Amino acid sequence: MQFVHPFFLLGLSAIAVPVVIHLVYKIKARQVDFPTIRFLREVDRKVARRQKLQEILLLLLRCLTLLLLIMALAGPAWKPPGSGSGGGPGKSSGVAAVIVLDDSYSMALVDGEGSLFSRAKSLAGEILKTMTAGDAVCVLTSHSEPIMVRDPEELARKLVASEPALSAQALGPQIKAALKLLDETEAVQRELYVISDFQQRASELKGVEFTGRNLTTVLVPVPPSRRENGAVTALEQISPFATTTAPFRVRINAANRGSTPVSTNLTLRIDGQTAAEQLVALPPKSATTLAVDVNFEKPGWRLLTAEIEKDALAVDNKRLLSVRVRAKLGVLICRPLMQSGVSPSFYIEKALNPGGPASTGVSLTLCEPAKLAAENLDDYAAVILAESVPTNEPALKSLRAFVAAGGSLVIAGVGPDSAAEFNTKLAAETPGFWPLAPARMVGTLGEEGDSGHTETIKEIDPYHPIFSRLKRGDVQLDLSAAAFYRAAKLEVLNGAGTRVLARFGGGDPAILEHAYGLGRVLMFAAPLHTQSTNLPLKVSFLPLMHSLVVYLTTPAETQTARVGESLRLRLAAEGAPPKVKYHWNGGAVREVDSSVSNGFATYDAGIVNEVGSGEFEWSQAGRFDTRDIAVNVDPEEGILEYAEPSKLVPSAELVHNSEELNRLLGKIRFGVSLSPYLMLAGFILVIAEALLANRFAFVSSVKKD
Amino acid sequence: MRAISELLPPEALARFSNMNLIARWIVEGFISGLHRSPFHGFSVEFAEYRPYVAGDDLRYFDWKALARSDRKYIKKYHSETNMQVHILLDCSASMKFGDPVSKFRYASAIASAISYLAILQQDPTGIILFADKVLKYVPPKSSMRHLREIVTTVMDAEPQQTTSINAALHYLAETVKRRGLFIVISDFYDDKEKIVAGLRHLRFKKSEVIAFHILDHNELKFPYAMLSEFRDMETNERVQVMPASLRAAYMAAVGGFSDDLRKQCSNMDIDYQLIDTSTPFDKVLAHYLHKRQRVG
Repeated sequence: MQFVHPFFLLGLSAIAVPVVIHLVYKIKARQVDFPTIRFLREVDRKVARRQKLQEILLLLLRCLTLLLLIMALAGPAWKPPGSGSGGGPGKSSGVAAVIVLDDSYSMALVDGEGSLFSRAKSLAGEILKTMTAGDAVCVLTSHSEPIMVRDPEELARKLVASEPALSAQALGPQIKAALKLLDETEAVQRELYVISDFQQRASELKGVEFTGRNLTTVLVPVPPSRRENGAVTALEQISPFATTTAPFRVRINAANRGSTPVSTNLTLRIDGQTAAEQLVALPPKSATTLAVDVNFEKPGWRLLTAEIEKDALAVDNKRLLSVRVRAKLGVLICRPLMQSGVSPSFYIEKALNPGGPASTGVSLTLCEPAKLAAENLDDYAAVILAESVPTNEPALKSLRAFVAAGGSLVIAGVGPDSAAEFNTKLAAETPGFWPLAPARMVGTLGEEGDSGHTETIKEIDPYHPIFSRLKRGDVQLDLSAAAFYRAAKLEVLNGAGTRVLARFGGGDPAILEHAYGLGRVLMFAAPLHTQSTNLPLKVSFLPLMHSLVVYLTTPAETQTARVGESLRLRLAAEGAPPKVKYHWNGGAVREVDSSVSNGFATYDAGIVNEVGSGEFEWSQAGRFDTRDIAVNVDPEEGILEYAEPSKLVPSAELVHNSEELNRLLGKIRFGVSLSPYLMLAGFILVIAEALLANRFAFVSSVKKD
Repeated sequence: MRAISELLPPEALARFSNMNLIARWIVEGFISGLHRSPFHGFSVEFAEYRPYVAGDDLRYFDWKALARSDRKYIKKYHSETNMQVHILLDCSASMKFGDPVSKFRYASAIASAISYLAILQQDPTGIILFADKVLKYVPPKSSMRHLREIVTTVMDAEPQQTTSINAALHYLAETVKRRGLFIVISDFYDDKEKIVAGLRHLRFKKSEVIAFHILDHNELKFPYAMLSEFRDMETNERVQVMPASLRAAYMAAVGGFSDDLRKQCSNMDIDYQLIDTSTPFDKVLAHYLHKRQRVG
């Protein structure tokens, strides 16, 4: 048996009071002259022994009553033997408890009773109060280390100051870490408390095995009393690129995650200036999508913010999008200078710019391979090598830097005469660098001397964005009608992460793609002109080229990140600066060191725990560049749908409020509380004592003068 | 006509000090309350005739005179007693108990009244005051002057010492040679065996005995509630008790003592009366008179 408040046991000394009173205190008797006391003494002889016994019985009753009441105040509790005694206060290895405190941003929801997180903190504090110095305890949140400490009071003080994170971490990993932590302790009793709102995503807990020696698992749900939450769940760009010359279209998804209707004002801002505003009315558990066109006045990184009015859960009310706005979308086509005949890039030029630059916003620039090094590639979104291979090293270096920094390269066929150069310059595996091309040429398709041999595309990757964008309903883009008279036989380079997007009938790659740094390289097995294929003459060519440009000019690496993720910048290692400058939300600038591996320099600015945008600034090869990355919360965390905790972990104890928690804590830590029974027994004894005292008489002494 | 109990209730004794007067009031009041003279019907000598009036006792109607003269006469007699009356009055300290009238005061009134009544009947009457021994003995005489001596003796007495009825009874049994009527007025706080032995001694001499067991109302009912220390008025012993808890047992003990005494007296043909000091005097005198008439 243990005591919750053992200091009350000091009161046991009070039992001496009735004893002392019994021994010392005598009521002053009235003096009465009486004819004879012979009858009184006769009666006294008969009842004296009984009265003495009654007197002792009353004394015992009074002492026992005091004993019971004092013990009841001390909070005695009984625990069956072998059920993992808490070990009692002061025993360092008695109790080990891990409190998994859900600090995901859904816990920031404010209902009529305050925020869910403040309630969760209060409940965690209740648990910590029952721990004593020496007990091993850990409060595990999304950003705390799974380390046991033996100072619950200090932990409770830290807990008071904690705030919910903006992350949306699942409980599963934390609980697994907690179970591991508990399993490593030497404690006699292990306790796992999970305090969470138990959103539907918590159903992953079903897969966690809550087993362990003397493990008690307690789930403490803190669901909101009201479910009101509007959210901006997405802010995405529809336009493939942003220029100052054409409208930029974004898609905004607004959703009502609660069970009451939401009517709110949705505002779209560019760098804090309102660009568009619209009232949205959302029935419960519904969503709406808005397409908004905005115009950028000047190039550079622009931060778009879509935000609704403040509600119960304000965290998911806005989303950010960093957009790189260019003055124009430049595409550089590098092709050999033809003295006569049709240029190898003729059909590409026509496809990309059928009605002149104003029709698509694409600004084409032509250059020869020898002059590629002189071009400033930063002015272009994509470079197309039309049957040409740059051979000088500066051009190659510039090209690698361009792609690694996020640019796109299209290798639109290589002539048989250039195969060796191609393999040497673009497909060579230089130590420290990945090959720029996804494959190398190993010959031409068809029998030697078989001039009539043609190949057709038999297989495409329907899920690749280039082709999926061209899909109309269930009908795929049909490229099989195009005949390829002259195509290179390509061999995919191992380890280059190459993806084959289309294959010829014989299984040879027709279109390939691989990532290089932050950019992409797309390669066609045949030049895109009529001397090699009739594809440019097919209806599918124009949409294919447009889809290609859209795909290639869409940033390969997302410009948004989620709270809780690291903000990283990757640059080609060649010429990469050892440090880049970084600042968060326009705050203080700090430098971030690089980490080079696999030909890339990675700059990790660390985990971001708030919503906003981080900006990297660097100079590479004498060229200054910046990149903004917007950080948003995980919109799924704002869905106010909750799991049934009792079904998640059937073996766990479930408590819903502070009273139930305290009752259970007393039961777990100390066993079944005996206080009510002792109070009842004490009350019965008080009544019995009163009745008996009234009934009993006591002759205390007989004196003779 | 109002009874003596109304004219002179026992508690009124506290207001008067002249016991002679009290005795007369008691007796005169008692007699006036009776329908017929208490002095007739004993062993008497004829005195005179008087005309019969309605309501006269027909036992004294002279039927022969009626037959002879057709006149109705009632015969009147002078008493002709020779029964000596001895009153034993307990003067022990315990008799001082009682409020507002002590047991001794009450007993003294009864003794005086019986003496007066007896002397009126020409019975020689004496009194013995006793405590742990015989304190004073006034031999029986039947003159009215002797009554004053008895009353004076009673009035001068002061309760003291312990009770030893046995000593007084044996003393009287040895001293009085003639057969007589012995009236013992006491609270009988003595050893029961000794009391019975003494009474038996008296009965052995063929004397008649009346035992008036005088107790105060508080002795009988024990109405105390608070914790009290009781001091024995005779022995000075003390006992501290919670009266409420002992009341039943105490009353049972007192009742047992009284019943036992009554039974022993009954066995010896002794008239035993338990008298509460609140009992009207006429009731006590009636007991005496009844006994006196029986013994002739």
